[in-house]
Amino acid sequence: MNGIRQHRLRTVLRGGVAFTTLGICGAAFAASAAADATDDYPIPHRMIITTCTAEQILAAARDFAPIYYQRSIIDKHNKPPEAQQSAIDSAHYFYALSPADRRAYSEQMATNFADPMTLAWPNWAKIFFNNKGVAAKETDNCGRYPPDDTSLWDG
Amino acid sequence: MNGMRLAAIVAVAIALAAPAHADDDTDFANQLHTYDIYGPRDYNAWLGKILCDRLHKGVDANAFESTHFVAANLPRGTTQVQAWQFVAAAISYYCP
Repeated sequence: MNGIRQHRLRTVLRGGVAFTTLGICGAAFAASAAADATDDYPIPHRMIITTCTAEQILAAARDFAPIYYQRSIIDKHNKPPEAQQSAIDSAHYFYALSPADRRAYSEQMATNFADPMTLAWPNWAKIFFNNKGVAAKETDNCGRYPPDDTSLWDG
Repeated sequence: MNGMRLAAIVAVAIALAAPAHADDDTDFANQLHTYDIYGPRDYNAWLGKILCDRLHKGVDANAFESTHFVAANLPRGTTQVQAWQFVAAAISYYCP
């Protein structure tokens, strides 16, 4: 009786060790992969690596995701002027960062819900970050537009 | 008695008027259907209104540029002819 119990215990332990080893291997492989799913969240990877300015991205949105763009501009116009201005400033700040800093910003964005910009206008960056399909259209086409047409913020 | 007659006339007028004046967006969608252009009615209507707005503001300088804009935002497989038909219909329905 005792022998059987010990045998079972040993099997369980051995199983546990094997499982842990598998887990470590899994972690090692996951780390070495170039892009995991979290690279797209909350900011799509394309937005992290793009060299376009915020205005170029808005111009591409105006032409290639026009309804999404219009909704975003309408939403913006329904916010207080200070919130609108800080959205513009936040976008300029973000696209002036290096990709590594944008990734760090992304981490911070996912965790810091007390950010004043987020509180003032939770969807302020929707046109840039929210939809991977839209982000793809924007980043595919933004390169052909002038970098500083600020009229795009007003539709 | 006169009041009753008036009410009856008004009721008939309303009943007849309703189908004759379906909203612009539905008429526009029906027009598109004759060109084999389908898709969400509100999407197409808003696209048409944006098209006019762009012409008005000069974002698109002419109908050729409008067609380019429309072609990029209609479903894949839309022909050039359909894009022109969309532009023509949108201008007649939505551009003042």
